[in-house]
Amino acid sequence: MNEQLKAYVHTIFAPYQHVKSANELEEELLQNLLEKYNDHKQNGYNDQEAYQMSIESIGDVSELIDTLNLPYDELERTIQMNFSKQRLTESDFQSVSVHDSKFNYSNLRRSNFSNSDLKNSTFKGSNLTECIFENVNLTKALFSNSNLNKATFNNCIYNRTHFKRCNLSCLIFDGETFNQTIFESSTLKRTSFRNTTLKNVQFRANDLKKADFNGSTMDQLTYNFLKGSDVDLSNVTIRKGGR
Amino acid sequence: MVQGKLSSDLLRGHTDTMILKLLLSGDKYGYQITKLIFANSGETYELKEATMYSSLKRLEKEKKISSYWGDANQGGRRKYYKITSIGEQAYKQNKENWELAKLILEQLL
Repeated sequence: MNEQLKAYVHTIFAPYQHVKSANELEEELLQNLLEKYNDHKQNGYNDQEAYQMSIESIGDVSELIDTLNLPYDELERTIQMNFSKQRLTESDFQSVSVHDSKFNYSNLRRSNFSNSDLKNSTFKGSNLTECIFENVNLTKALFSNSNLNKATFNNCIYNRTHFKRCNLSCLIFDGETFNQTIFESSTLKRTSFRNTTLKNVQFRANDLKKADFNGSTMDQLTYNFLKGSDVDLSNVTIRKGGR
Repeated sequence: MVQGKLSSDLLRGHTDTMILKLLLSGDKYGYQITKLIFANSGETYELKEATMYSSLKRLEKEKKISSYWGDANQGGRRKYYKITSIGEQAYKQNKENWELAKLILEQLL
């Protein structure tokens, strides 16, 4: 679990590895969370609960990034890039910070976005076939009318990420944590959400045929969204209350 | 737990003063601050890490606090925060402002 906490915190700061204030804040935050985690464990919470409570205590990640006081040229370089209407197949976006960027109507087939910061970015009508999203900050990112066929998602931050009219069939999100994520009018046939943690996740008007939620943990709100669809929720844990 | 966005916003506006008060009684590191705020609020208010750091960085910039790294223990280093004389002045002023605001609000609400 300590390694998992370390990886989570690292994901937040990964795009700013060359900024000293970011390295220091990462070290500080991790130290706080490790001690917090140990205290929760001593108070009788199990590994997963203690981990979840520690992660949730971070709060708004964008507020955290704002405190870094990034130099102006850094911000200039990292925000609001426009990659729209371009052919960028097999591009390498690894470890870059391109948050608030627009990737609309682009062909990004086989691009690699691993370790990047895509906060607030939009992917409208984009071809994201076989793209790789590992350790990516997808906070408030919007995917709409995009093709994500055979895309890989692993260890990403899905806070308020919005998937609208996307084809997510057969994708594997196993073990991921979703917080206020929205899946809307999307195809989730055979999509795997095994052992995921879902909090305040909204599933609206999706095709969830054979979607797999085995071993996942969700709050009542998420459960209520899924209850109406024909998803098998027999092997799901429901978390009560706000914690 | 304090419920609702509004009530936590009301508290959030006073994060700087809460932290300054805690530092009056001695230097502290991040986790100590959140832990004390949770305990001193009767376990009703959890200060989020992001909110705390946004406050700490601002206070440091305004020279109301300073910071230094402590020795490594349990595998990691802790960064300690120390109140300055400017910070002590700011605390006194904020506290007076709050007492005044409280009187006014009690009559108006």
